[in-house]
Amino acid sequence: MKNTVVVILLMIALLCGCGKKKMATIEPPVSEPAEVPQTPAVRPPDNPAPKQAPVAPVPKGRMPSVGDTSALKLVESGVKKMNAGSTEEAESLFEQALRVSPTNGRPYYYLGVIAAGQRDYDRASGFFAQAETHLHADSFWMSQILLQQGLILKNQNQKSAAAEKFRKAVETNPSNNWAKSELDAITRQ
Amino acid sequence: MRQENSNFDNFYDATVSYDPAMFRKIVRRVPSSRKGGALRKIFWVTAFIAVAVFLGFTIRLYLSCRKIVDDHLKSQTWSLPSTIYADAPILYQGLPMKPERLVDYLLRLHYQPTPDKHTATGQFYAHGDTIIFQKRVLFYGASAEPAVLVRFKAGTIESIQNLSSNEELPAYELEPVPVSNLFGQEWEKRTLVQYEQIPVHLIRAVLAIEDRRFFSHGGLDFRGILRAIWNDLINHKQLQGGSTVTQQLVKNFYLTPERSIRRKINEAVMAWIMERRLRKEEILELYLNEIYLGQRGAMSINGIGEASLLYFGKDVQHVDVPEAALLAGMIQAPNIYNPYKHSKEAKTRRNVVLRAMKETNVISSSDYEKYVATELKVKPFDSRINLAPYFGNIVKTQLLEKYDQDLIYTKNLRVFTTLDPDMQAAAEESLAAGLEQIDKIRYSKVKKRVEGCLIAIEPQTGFIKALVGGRSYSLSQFDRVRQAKRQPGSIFKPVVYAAAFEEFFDKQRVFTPATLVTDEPWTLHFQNKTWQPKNYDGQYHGTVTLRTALAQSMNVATARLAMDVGLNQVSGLAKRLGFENIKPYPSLSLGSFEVSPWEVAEAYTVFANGGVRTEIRTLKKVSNTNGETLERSRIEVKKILHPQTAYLITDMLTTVLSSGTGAAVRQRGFMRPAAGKTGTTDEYRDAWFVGYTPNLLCVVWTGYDDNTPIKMTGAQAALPIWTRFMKIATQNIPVEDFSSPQGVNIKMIDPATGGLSTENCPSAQPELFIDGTEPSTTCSQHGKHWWKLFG
Repeated sequence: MKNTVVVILLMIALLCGCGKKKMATIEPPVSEPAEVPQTPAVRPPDNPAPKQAPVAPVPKGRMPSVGDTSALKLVESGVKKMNAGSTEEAESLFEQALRVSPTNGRPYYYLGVIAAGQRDYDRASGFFAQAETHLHADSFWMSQILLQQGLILKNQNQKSAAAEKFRKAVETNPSNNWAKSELDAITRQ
Repeated sequence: MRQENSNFDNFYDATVSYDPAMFRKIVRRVPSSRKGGALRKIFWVTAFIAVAVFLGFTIRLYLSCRKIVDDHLKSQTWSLPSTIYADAPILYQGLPMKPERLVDYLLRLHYQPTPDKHTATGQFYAHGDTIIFQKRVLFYGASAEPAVLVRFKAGTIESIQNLSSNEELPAYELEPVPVSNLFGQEWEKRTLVQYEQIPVHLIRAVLAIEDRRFFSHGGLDFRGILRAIWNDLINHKQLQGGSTVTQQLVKNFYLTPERSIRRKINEAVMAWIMERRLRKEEILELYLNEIYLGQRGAMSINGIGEASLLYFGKDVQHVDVPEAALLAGMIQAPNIYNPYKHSKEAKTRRNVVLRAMKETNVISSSDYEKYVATELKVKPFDSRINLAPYFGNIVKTQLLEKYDQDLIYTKNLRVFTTLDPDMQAAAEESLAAGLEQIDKIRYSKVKKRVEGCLIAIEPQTGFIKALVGGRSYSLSQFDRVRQAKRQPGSIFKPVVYAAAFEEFFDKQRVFTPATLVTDEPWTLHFQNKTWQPKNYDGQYHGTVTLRTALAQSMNVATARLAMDVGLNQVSGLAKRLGFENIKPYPSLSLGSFEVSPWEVAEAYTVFANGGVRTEIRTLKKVSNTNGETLERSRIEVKKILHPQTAYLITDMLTTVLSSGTGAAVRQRGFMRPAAGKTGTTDEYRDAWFVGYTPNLLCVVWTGYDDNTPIKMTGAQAALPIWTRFMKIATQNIPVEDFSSPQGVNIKMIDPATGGLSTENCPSAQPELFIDGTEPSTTCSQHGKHWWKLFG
């Protein structure tokens, strides 16, 4: 009986955890990388595969880097500086982060946010493109990138392209409220 | 602790004796009183005029000397060249690093090992898997850096802790290595030290040999002057200076070395004025920072701070008594007592100073015996005053475009650059070794030495990590990385393939790595001309996939593809990649225009960075001596390609290394995830290799400046240099793999037909496609067996 209660409680906790949706914020929170690939199962050599059309491997996505933990901490410090208005210090920390872990997408994302804030849209687009390459497997971050790309297009008066980006951002992460409100606003116009 | 001034007076005064007999010879002349009144009048008038003239001259002399001294003291004292620093390495948790490597780095920066865990600035404590060190302050007036504890575990950094706040640090930047100085007309190197940093035994050694009554005289030591005159005139000994430290300082600052009464008078007046303007400690600090202490090549070494680093490889505060005695002894004649050139004389002179220290009770007799018996210890001579001359030249040019010369050459700016000194050393060594190998083959035939260059950058930041513009900067300052314009040859081919893949996004035209192309003899009629591209080896391969065509660097297949895609598309992309003067001619596809290795490196960042071009940078930051930032550079990026296109090109270039023209990279043992391309131009005039990992991109060019054919391919001449460099340069960098973007997928194909493979295809292989470009048909040659068509 006691065990059954424990199992039920665990299942409830698990379900609550799975169902919990991330809150949309202006700046995405720093989180652990979600794009760690699973190790494929290895078939024993004495058990050959039945003859069938060869199956292609899937693209490898982003491999975890030894510098990820440090890079995320640096990003965290950079976000604090950025929110406090110390843009130069923030940029310096994000640069350090991407040197520590060059395939981590978060520093690129925030460098893009800073560049976009400075209306340097070419530069911002470059950073968001790099962020996209490294973060596309994470729907939360991908939605944020799409939102930022949409905001750039909106500021450049390319409204239909912007609307498309906002739509994709909402599709990728339905709880991205900012993207939703931007999409609503732009479709009303 | 240092003794009070009075103590100095006591023990120096007690040791000096002079002969008072000299005073007995003073002759007093009394004018006659029996002269007439007129004569007396004339005498008094003359005397009055003489006194007035004398006073006038004296006042004028005083005022002019005072102005010179005051003006000098108000302005900055020395012309200090700006210093170029390498990039500061970053320590972080998980970084593969052993404690020995950090110790090596600290020793290179002249940090001193200490058995005490409570390290001072510029010291480190190493024990087992822990190292504690305290970074130096690079700017005047900046607060001290906290001590840092680094823990290692299994060959990696486990943690980094700030020992002041006990806070765990995610990353920590080490002190950067100085690369070179930016000199104007004066090639003087000086590391300024403050009085408090100078060890007391060094001050005592200098005063014991140069000016024992320094703390008691007022700038002029009359007893010393009389002793010098006595020795000059009576004993006929070698001319003695008799100058005090203050006089020597004044002479160095304001006067010429000529020996004249006029200069001596000026010197005395200025010394007297200086003593009234500054405290004794301030005068001593100026003096010890000013004195000339030898040469390092064309560069003069001034001040005890710089001399300590040059001769002993340590900061001045860590100099011991025999070392202090050597420095003090060298002041009199730095080149005669140079420990590298004249070690015997240097040791004798050191012992003279030690004896003077014993005589003045600065050291005991037993210490004297102990120190005199020690050997002369100096660090191995390092004649290199510029770790990266071509790179330094680029930095200097860039600074001169923005700043006043005076600011660069005299105001001691701190120029923080992107250079990695270890990679720079690896680059120089690899290029030199590679060019030597080429010369072994070619020198006997062409009777001239081959040239080459190498640039390595961090693609995500654009930081130049290493740059070598030629085989010898002293022989040729021509920087081939920036200034040489050479044909890129086959290293341009990936641009053609990238233009083809981009067609899908622009016009829905599908080219994939599995697209088939014909590699056979071909004549193109273009604008009333004919063009017949040929493969380098004269071999033709029939129908091949684009992946194979690029991996084997097939000219005809690539030229056909370029024509199919459109020359305007190819040249347009080339321009966006940063190549200038591109014209849409058919031969463009084979790289028959001119580029610099710098441009090639910048263009290839697009492939390494998922379609984004990064501008190459040399400067990170420029600061003045107080630490105020004058300039800070930032990453400049621009999106050029779709990330899927860039990834396809990177993937195809990995095939170049696994089974294409660059396979020797793997045979030579460079096994990291990497992509690369060989390049050889018409008549073998240029041999190139360009390749990259996710965190390092390197371009190597070899050839002759006068276009003499090198008669070697890129794989033969440039690839070995690239591989040798990359193996050394990446040994301390964590292994990373290229990230694949979204929108690509892998399908099994039959390379003979380019179609999706069946179970009967003998050499089915995985191929990468941009979503929507996958083949829709299966292999036509090895289709399903008929009986399987029914289930």
